[in-house]
Amino acid sequence: MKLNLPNTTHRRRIAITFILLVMAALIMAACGAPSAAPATGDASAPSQVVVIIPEEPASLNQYHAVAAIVRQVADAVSAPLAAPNAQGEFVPVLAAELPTVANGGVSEDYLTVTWKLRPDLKWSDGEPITSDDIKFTWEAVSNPASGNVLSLGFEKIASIETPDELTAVITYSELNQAYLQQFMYGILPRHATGAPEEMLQWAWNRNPVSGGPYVVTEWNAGESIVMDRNPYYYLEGQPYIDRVIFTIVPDPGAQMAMMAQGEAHVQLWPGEVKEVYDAQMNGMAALQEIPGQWNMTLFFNLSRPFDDDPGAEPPHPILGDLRVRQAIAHAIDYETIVTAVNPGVIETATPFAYGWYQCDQERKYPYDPEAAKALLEEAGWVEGPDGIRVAQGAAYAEDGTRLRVQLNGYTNFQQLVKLEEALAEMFKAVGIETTIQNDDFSIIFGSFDDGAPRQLGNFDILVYDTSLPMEPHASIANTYMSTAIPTADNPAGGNASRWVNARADELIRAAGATVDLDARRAAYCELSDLIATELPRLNLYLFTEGYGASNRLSGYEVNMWGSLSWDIQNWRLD
Amino acid sequence: MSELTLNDAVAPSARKMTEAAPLRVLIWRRFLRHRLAVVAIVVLGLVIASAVLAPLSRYEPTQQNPANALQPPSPQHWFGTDDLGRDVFTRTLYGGRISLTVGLSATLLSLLIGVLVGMVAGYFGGFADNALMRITDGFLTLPTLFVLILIAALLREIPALGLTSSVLIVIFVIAVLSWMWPARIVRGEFLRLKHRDFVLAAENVGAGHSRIMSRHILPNTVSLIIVQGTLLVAYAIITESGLSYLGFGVQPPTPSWGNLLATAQTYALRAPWLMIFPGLMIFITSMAINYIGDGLRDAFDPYSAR
Repeated sequence: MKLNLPNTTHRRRIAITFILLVMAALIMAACGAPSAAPATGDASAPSQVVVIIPEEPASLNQYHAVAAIVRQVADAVSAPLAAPNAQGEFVPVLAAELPTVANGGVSEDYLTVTWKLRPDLKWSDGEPITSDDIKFTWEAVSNPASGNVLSLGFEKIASIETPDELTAVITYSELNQAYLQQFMYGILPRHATGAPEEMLQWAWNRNPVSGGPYVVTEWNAGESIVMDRNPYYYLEGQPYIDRVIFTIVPDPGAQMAMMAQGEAHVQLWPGEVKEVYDAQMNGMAALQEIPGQWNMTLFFNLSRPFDDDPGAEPPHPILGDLRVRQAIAHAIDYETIVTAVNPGVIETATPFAYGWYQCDQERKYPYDPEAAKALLEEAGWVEGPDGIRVAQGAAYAEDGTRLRVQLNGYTNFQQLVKLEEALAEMFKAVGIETTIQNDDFSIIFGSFDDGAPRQLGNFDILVYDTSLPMEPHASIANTYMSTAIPTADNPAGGNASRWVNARADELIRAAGATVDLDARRAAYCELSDLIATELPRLNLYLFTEGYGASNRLSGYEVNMWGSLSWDIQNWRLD
Repeated sequence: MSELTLNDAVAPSARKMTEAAPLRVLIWRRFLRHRLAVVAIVVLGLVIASAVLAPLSRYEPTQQNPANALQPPSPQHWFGTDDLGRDVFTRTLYGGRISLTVGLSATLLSLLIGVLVGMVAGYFGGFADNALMRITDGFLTLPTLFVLILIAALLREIPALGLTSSVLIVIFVIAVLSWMWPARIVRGEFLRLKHRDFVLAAENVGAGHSRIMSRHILPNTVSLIIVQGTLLVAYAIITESGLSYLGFGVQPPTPSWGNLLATAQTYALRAPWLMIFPGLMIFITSMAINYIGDGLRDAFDPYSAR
């Protein structure tokens, strides 16, 4: 380390300073520089679309899809019997028609469902698609060793009969309200896959014999997935585009540059506000967005945290009192949040904000700081010397307790942090002190055995976005039923708020016992009203969803129930 | 710089100490001759003063005005505003409080542990050396990310950590993850120096182990320790922001240079001022400490005189 030569240190220092400055300049330049990307083919070549995906799917087997990216790609090679369209209605795909009671496809007791395939369907290897493949899908997915992660109610199927090549008769042992959803993630070819218990190792998972519009022709790990037309696709003349290249580009800056230069045609999940996105695209592309499924929500803990008891009792010292929760709801300036803090989101006051079960829910406790202060006074929280309230005759808190709550979200999500910081200021204005604690995703959404705060009830207010599927009942029951409170006996319970409400239990049971959609919707909407009044949670807003699309691309429709590639057979390139 | 007298380059033992100024005065004089180091001390002083005087700003660090978000620098907001319309100048000043505290304290703690371990291992050798160095190797092979996630999960059991305790934890964690480098360097120096004549002389006149270690060998390693320390400061400032990504450390809305920089990434193209100012502060602080370290090394080490 020692330098004995005179003047060397000085020169070295200048050199180091210079190198640091050059590095700083390079880093700054790199931030703005577009990255090189393969150019697309010329006009005479077969038509080709480049779709940017930010990460690589591990597999194209949707039954293994924990990551959302899988379906975005896999729908191009999947063979669903029926799938939801952009209006949220199921439409037949490989099925000749939707089974209903009226057409005899569904029995009066809803326990027998008969699917009929379109005639002359073929897999991408030319083999016929038959009802036996439907039966095989059930056998494969319901095998405990299959690695299936989707809850589609395959365990409710007692048997599948295949009286002919086109007909599959499914007998359920109990009511499956989601029977139309049963095969929306595609049926599996018996002849081209493998044994059900080896499903995780099937070669098919990464090179599927396809029943969808495309077949995988090349998979360059970490780089791209190339798909060409499936010559046996059932729609005459479709897909219109010969080749689709799913190119894996994690860096948002590089993605934007590729779109702006016309090197790519579709950009999944750009994570930008529409005006900003479109302005950067110089007319080459635009963000296509619709209200999405992700519903930003505050989850109040009604039970005391850190008492080694995950159950509903005793009440939370602060949030156990309904008046405090109402005051918090009154303290939030919803307008500012959706226009200035996180512009581009859509306000909602209900968990049932879309789909056939959508409810028109008004806010019971709109923005009104004065009302919030009055409620807190009434609840025994009086203003202290520094503006933060302290307990004086509060229902569950000892006198002198500071009115302090912790907002608990997850890290690496800038929008969420902004929301939390804005909420903290709004709460402060009515005398509530707020701390923010964001944990790694794996901690917040961990399991009961991992000691996840959500499951153990060790939190004040959780902040995250949640969604409901097309058929929401299982999720609703596991979120609002008093029996769904996570405990050692029920570690997967989803009632993190520890909300116990007899009327809610009753409504959910009633909705679960019928297939009458109107009756179910009425029950869910009464539940929505109850939630908005009792505030086990407070819904804030919906994120928009969508993708950036080149102005040369047409024929696509953004579908909140489907993936990016749900209608890829209809895309055209001008 | 060639006007330096020969005396400076001669080992102190060659002179009569009674005639020369005391050692610390000599060191101070030599330091003052390193002009960049002097400038750096002034700059670091200004940076620390700005953090201490942060409350004099006319804005609060958490005061929001979402309607005025992402404004470029202006007379009202010298460093512009961030995504919630907060004053970046004020947040940068307040951020210095956390970052300087973490950077300097974590470095001191890391050096303290590292120097102690290195001293004992290098001086005594044998079993102590083997044991301590294997522990050091063990810490070096720890997969940092997993350890941090584990710590975050364990801390989750403690309800509502205050800011002070979070900062203490951050300082502790950074020190625990970084003491190995100074330990290895100090050990090496002790191995090298412990058989030198001046050490043997001290032994012969009956000096004890601790006296030899602290009074005779350690001062000769100070220059290396200081260089190591300057590197650790910048490391600690950056690591602090990484920790809050993992769920512990300084949580929003409390600003630190690291987390200001992390937030700014999202807006790198639209609002570059969010990135430039905290980045510049980290840069200036690291450079200043580096030059001070350089000056101190030259001052302490007569052989490096120019």
